[in-house]
Amino acid sequence: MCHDCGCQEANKNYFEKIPHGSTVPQHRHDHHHHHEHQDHHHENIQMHPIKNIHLEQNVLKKNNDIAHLNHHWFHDHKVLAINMMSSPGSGKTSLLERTVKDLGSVVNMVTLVGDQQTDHDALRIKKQGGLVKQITTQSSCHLNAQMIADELGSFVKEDTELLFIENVGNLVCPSAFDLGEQKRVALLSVVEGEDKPVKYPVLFNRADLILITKTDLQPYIDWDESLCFKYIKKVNPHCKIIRISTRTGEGIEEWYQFLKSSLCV
Amino acid sequence: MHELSIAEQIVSQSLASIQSYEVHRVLSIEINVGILSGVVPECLDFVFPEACRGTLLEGTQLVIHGIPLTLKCSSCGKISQQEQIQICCSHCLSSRVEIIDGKDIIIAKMEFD
Repeated sequence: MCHDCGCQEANKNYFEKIPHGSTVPQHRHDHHHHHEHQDHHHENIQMHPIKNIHLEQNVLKKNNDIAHLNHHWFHDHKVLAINMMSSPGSGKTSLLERTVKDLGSVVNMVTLVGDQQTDHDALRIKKQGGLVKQITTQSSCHLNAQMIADELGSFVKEDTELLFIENVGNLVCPSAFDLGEQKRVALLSVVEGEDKPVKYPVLFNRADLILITKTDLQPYIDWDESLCFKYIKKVNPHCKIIRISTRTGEGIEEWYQFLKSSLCV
Repeated sequence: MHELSIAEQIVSQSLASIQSYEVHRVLSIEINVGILSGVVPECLDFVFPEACRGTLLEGTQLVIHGIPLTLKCSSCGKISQQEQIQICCSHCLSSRVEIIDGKDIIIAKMEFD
């Protein structure tokens, strides 16, 4: 629908519109609008010569530059940083609780947890003996590279072997912001439905590992696994997939194997 | 709605880019949005005027060009484009492809007087 005059424009190429801050429709319609000549303010346009500059600037450059520095910091200090991304409630914190409990005495690990509000997740991980810090993002729907940079060398010590970054539960926004991590892990619980990888393809495309979580619930729901795997292959054809349940322990050893083999040596 | 953060970046980078010019009005900013950038054009379009408020960019037209995926196939060596996020070569259907475009959000051009 056209923002300016409310007309329906079927099959219109969205990307051709829209002038902002104007009450006058200025974009081209297939039907005819007649505008009075004085609506167009030609006298203003002719006052100064029009200049064009070509820029080719990446809009995320600032975040990407900081992420790049984070990446170097991780590399120089041999820290494996893992960005955990999923929708809310898919089991990120449960998996980290279990991981901290099982590997906490073997691997020097810390966790940064992003949520808009509360320190509930951090308290759960702390209860299992984990060193953890909550980042409350307030109105922001994702973590950005600066939020991680602020913790490097202070909360995240130089001798850390493994840094988990539990991103804000959201299948859309976190995928656009590189944090400098070496590995991205996407979680998808069986109760969310098989088609999430194609509904939210950016996040699943960028994952190095996809965990199918809460597999213990599979007997109680309609979950077509081959369909889910087909969708994953469409957006990320060679991604490693592990089925996992923190309740039954399915896939846990394979997850630990992934972590151990990814550690920087 | 991370598009507001993106819109704010567009505003600050655009203003920085025209600092050395004498500018009366910025008529338009053209940006290229890759379909694998994670940015929803409709949302960006919606929040852009808000990000411009109180700056020289108030009233500036944001022109968004959708950039499809460009893939280079390791199996047949050809370049193909996908309008949807489907990581496979449209010539030989191989999934052994490298993404060479469609991931970024780029400020391409500004027009001002």
